[in-house]
Amino acid sequence: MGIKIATSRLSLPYSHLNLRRNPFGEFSVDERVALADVDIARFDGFFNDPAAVVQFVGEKGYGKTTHLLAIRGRFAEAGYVHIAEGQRASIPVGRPLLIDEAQRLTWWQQWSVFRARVPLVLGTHRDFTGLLVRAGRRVTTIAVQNCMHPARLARLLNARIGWVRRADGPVSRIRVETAARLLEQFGPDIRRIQHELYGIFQNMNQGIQDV
Amino acid sequence: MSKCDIVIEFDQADRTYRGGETVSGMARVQVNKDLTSQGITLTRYWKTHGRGNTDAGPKHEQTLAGESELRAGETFEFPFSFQAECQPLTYHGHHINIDHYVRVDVDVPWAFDPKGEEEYILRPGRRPEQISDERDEMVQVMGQLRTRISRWLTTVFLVVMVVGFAWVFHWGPLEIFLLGVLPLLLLLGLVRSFWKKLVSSRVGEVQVVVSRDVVAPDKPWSCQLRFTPRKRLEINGITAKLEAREAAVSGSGTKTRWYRHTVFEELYTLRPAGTLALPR
Repeated sequence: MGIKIATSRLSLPYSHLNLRRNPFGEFSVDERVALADVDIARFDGFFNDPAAVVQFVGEKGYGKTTHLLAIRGRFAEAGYVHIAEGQRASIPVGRPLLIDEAQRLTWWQQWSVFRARVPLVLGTHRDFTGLLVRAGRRVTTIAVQNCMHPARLARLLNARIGWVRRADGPVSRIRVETAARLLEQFGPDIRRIQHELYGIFQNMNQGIQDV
Repeated sequence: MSKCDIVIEFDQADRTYRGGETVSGMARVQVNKDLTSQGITLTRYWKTHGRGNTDAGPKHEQTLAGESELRAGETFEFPFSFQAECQPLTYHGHHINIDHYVRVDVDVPWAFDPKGEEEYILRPGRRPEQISDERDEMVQVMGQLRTRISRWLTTVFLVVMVVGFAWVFHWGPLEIFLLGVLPLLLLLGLVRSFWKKLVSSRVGEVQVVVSRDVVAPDKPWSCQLRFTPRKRLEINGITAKLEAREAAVSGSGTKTRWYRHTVFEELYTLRPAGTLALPR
């Protein structure tokens, strides 16, 4: 859908960059889901099997939560829980059942959830393959850091810029070479990369330019 | 092509309004494809953006059109007006931004709703009801005595001592912690506490009296520092620092990150170095 705006842009935020806000600030959950660069269609048939488990394994900031949120958005009956540090979370009902920070499941929760006859999606720092196989599960492990490469990173970052575009016309773009340099510097930690780019866009006073 | 193009225009070319003023303008909906609309609504609200977690104010909705059939090629114009909120004011900072928005949604069943959203700038205007500005605020502060010896120098000296002991006595990590770091922290705590007591015993209770909670831009604001020294006192000076700071938090749990940025900082010398005499 095209959106036109009135001509006056005086004092409007980031109008000198043809943006509405800093594209590397915090986005809402809905926005993160809308921008998730995840091929979720491939999981459609997968969750017909109640023994199926997909675990996204990786360090924080690597995009596990984004994957889970994208899958939750795809399946209307999905149940989702994020287990906060030092807290016990009750496990919701859902199909599939998505558990973020699954390494924080209590021993009893692990036992009961892994044996429940419901497809599972886990976001975790720890690889649960052994436990899940012993519980009779069919496990697919996705190491999120291996999913990242310069072209995909540039696509992800430019999607954020496009999302906050103010009007038709040019906006700053992230070059693939820059994405490659960022990956070299920060690894696949998207959060740290966004943190770096937030500062760059915040200080981009000379107008639109590619990064 | 989208189902509709939505343009929102404000009567004020710079889109700037003061709190309590009437915000008015026109919402134009140009239909590109035939569709059934369950209504067209205008929503106004404020929300934050920037590095911290987002926040938003209550959404105030008004109906521009009810259920209707929209035909391709038609253009509808909806004048709108409402009274601007008095707060929060528009703010564009480093980590935190607050903006006010007008959004127009065309409700299309079983499809993504076409929408258009525009910001307007809210400047100080009528005083918000929540701010009474009728009380004097008494703020208790502790006197801060600045040492002539740099804190860094002291810390470096103590660290060198611990490292020296560890090297001479061949301490392991546990011994360094138990015999070096822990006593060092205790010692620093004691010195700090003693220093505060020493200052307190000399200057007595220190109060800052703030005359007003609220001040308009470019208007004077004053505060008073009150204390009665118990002895004649040599001072390095009395200063007041006015500081505005942004503090944003993003994420939660282990993902929590704090971001701070000093927006404004100014130091005022209330009294230069010299002797504070006892009151007569």
